[in-house]
Amino acid sequence: MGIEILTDPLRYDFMVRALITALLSGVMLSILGSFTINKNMGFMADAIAHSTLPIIAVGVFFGFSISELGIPAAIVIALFLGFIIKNSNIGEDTSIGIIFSSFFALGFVLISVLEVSINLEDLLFGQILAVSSFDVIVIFILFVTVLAILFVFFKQILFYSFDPIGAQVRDLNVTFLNYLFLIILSLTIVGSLQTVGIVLVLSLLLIPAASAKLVTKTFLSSIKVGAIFGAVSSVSGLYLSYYFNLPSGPTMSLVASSIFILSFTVNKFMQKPKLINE
Amino acid sequence: MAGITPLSHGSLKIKGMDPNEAKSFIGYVPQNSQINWNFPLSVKQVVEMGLITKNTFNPFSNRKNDAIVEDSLNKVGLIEKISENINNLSGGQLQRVLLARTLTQGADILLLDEAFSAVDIGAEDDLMKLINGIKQDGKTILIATHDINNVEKKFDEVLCLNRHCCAFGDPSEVLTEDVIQEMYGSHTQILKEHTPGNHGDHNGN
Repeated sequence: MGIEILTDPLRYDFMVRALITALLSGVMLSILGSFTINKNMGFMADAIAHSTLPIIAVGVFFGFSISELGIPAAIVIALFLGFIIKNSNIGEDTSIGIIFSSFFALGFVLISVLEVSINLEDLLFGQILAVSSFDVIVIFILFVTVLAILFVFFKQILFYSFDPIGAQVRDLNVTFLNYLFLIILSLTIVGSLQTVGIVLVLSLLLIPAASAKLVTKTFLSSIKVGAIFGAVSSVSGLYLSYYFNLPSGPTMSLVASSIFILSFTVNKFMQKPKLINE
Repeated sequence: MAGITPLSHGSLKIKGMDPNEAKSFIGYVPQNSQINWNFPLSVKQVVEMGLITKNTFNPFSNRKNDAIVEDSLNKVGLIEKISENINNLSGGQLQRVLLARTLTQGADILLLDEAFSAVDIGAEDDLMKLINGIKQDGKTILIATHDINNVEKKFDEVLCLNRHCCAFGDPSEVLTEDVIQEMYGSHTQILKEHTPGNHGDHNGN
């Protein structure tokens, strides 16, 4: 017993691929999650995840894999959701709710009508052990792209998220920033569907970021700690699922939830609720 | 003036330019309610936002910007709070942080939207002293407010609006009963009777 616990699963290529995917997804989702929770966009993120279903159904019908569909699907969904929300007068939550449920329903109908051979359970809850080398490359490219965009536009996106009117007065292109954030959020979510699936992707997006917010003082430190929580949740979830023969996606979610309960308890009951400074 | 809402009619020139072209001359302090306070940002991060433009692609601070931020915070008397989380500040301190943010821009014209809406009387007094100090530096300051208490003591000129221009000029001259009636309609009587210790017929008695 010892280091073998960590190295033993790596004898299998599929576990190495799964580990890399879990790590990249966990970190990427948590970093975007820090913005998402502070922008109150959790429902939007859920809608993005569920809206992928019809695109995946049609794509798989024409012979594409989920990884091949990821980038175009994410961009289409982000632009569509952004446009509908901006141009409807029925409220953001209502618009998201309508799109969310309609797309999800359409996805199921298309899967049935087109007789697409998709394992729905894998799609909803993830199947990280089935990722191919190509999937890993796609996720790695998405990881680098998303973080590079966030790095370059960090200050502008933060300004726009904190004070949209002030950013507009300062002559920032707020429409561009809005769509840019939606696109990188969509890329992150769609890129992580194989890891935790449509239903559970929200757990790795929101829970590590929310946990980090509870034990940190500043936004930057919450991003850093959130990324660590995300990595720990996904990697340890993967190991636990390997050793205890558990479904990997739900196990990762439960580890993230456990970290949240711990953070919540620390925040609530310790004398100094904010533990980690920059 | 801030270039956010297109003109419905007429024309508007700022330093001879259209509002969209004159954005670099405008510093804007938004209403408290327009800000997303969920973000646990430091005072420094918020003030530094005044230096962000559409060409800002470096996520890190630099010494030159740090010096500008510190200078602005010195002017508003909050330099000792530079590392403080904005959520730990009072309403008056937050307004001063937002004011410091506009000062980093070096804008000639400052627009303050409901600057006194979330502050107590003491903080309002401090804020007015600060605004008067900034005015002495040659800045033009425009404040949108619904509070007409002591307007004549606070401001040099007042523009009274209620979908149209009701009056413009020295507040002690233009704030007549007719103008207040035009602005506030049936609520005029409440304003008239509402003095400290006297709430007229609307005090629930």
